[in-house]
Amino acid sequence: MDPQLTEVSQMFERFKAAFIRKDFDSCANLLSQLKVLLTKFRSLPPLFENTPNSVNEVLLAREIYEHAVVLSVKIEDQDAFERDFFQLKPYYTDAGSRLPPSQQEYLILGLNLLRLLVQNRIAEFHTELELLSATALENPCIKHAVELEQSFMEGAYNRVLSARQNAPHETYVYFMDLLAKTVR
Amino acid sequence: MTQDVEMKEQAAPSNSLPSFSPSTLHHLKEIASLIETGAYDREVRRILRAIRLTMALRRKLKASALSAFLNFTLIPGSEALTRLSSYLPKEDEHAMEVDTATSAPEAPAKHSLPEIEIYCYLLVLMFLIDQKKYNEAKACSSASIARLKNINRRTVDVLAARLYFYYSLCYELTGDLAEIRGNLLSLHRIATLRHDELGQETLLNLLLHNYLHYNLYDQAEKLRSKAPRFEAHSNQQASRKLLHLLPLTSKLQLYSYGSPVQFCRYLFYLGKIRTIQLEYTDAKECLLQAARKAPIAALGFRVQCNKWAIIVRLLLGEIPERTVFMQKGMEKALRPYFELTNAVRIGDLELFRSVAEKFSSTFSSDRTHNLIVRLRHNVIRTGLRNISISYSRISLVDVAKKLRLDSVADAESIVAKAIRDGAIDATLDHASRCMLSKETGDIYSMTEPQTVFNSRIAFCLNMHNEAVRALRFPPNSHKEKESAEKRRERRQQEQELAKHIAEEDDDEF
Repeated sequence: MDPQLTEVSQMFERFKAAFIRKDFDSCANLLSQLKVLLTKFRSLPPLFENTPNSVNEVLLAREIYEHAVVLSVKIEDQDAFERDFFQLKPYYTDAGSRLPPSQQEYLILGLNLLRLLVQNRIAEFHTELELLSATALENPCIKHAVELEQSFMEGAYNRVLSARQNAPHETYVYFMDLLAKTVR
Repeated sequence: MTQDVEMKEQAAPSNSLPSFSPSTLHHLKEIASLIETGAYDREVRRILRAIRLTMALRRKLKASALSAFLNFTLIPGSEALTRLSSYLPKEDEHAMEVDTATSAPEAPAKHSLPEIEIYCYLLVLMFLIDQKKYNEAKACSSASIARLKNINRRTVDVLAARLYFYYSLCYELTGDLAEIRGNLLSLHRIATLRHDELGQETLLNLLLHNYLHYNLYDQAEKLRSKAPRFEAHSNQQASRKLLHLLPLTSKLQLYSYGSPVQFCRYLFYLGKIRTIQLEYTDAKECLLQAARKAPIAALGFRVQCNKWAIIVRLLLGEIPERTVFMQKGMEKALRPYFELTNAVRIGDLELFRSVAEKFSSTFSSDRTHNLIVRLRHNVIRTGLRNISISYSRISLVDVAKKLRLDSVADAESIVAKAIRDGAIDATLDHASRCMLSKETGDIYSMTEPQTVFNSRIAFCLNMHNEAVRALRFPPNSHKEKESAEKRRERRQQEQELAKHIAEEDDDEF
């Protein structure tokens, strides 16, 4: 195995451990080091070079960015969320055909939709929505965000408020709280 | 016009050829001569005419005629000839031999103009697409594009623009449009550097089409807003402040597109992007203009424009007239949208849902499904407006029942939002849980008629101004027309001068 790859995956393990301990400061610290290390991989976007263990590298990078997105929600940093999400996006759109689909994909896409809704960027919300396939729209995470947008447009605010209780994932709660604040 | 006569003479013998498709071959040769004169005189107009003539011939193209033509025009043994003939089917080997035998001797080797070569590529490509040989077409188009990159002549631009289009078309037909995106982008860059406006327009449209094919609205909008806008660009920058005051229609006309067809396509794509971004007013203008400007023959395109325009108008809260759906040749295609409009007009959520379900396959193949979902909100609004007109006081329970909403609480907040947005003129009585509509007074006692009248006058004046502007000659073309004769003379003089200089150079050595 490539020494660089081992180094990154070891550090990522430490990151995950800190993440589970909810030690977010050291998480952020490790993450920035990880991102620097990731720039050394030539198989990642935008180069997409075909190296022997490119699949492993891309998979690892994708997982790191997925965690980064979730972390930014936990530390309630919307700018970081946007940055990390855009870094993650090419892994879903451009590299999607070469990789096994990620478990986290719909969760994160749904989170992003919710973020756009919270920031009142409805145009971008719909642009993102157009990119999703019919199967994606069936996913509970995404459906949740789409339905929220609809009730928002109609003005059924009571539905928005009640939606907080049946959020599909714990990370959604942060954005839901923000939304509820807007509604009130 | 000595050249013209010469070419005619060359083409004439082919008339007497005992070929099975003498007329097609003959026409092709005439077109080739047209292109040649155009290339020598640097007159794009002639080449444009040649392309138009070719389009008329397109249905009649046969492999045999085509290969005879290739042998006639291209230098025997040249790379292009061998490559192009390899794409053509070899089924009528015998007939071809006869043809080559007769036509080869009379084809002088001087036909090495790049224009003719590109034209041959175009012909073969069209033929292959018509014969549904998409893989060969792909190979052929890629080869032609590679060749095009090395040619930098203004007279080729017209042909190149057509080639780009077919290049994209055959990749779309085989379903790998994403592959050529990078290539198109680089072609667009080259066209921009060479000031090839037609190529720029065509490529920009192809790129937009490419992005929208994969629903990449974000990228499409970014490209569109960054792409250069030809001569009108600087003009537009300067008068941007002014432009804000003008309605969109006149704004768009300032872009001064070279080809109306490309402009039309551009409008359609722009309209689509604007729709997704919820800028319905802009989108409506674009789509309606695109539908109006489209050539009569382009029925499919106009149907598409109309579909999108109908949805956008519905989203804006307008109800399109019945005549929109009854246009010739479109009744069937627009049927689902007609029923949808009906549902929105009545404001019946149940009917709306059933229509959306009934035609869901049509809507998703038109990729308008997400827009239809957005319409639900409008249906509720219309229903609510109807209620507020007919009742001066109605309990929220009844509102919920009439709109077929799930709960009274829903109804209350929906009514509240409608009031806040100004859709209905009413108040909510929370204690007694009912909605009180305000009496609408006599509409003619308010300023409403004046504002409507004003907007109509403004529209008419604008139309008049635009008509006047359209009658004017563009600033430079008038002068050019006048000096066309002189220019030819000047060029001749220049050529003579060049000859002299060359001779002098020779003398010196």
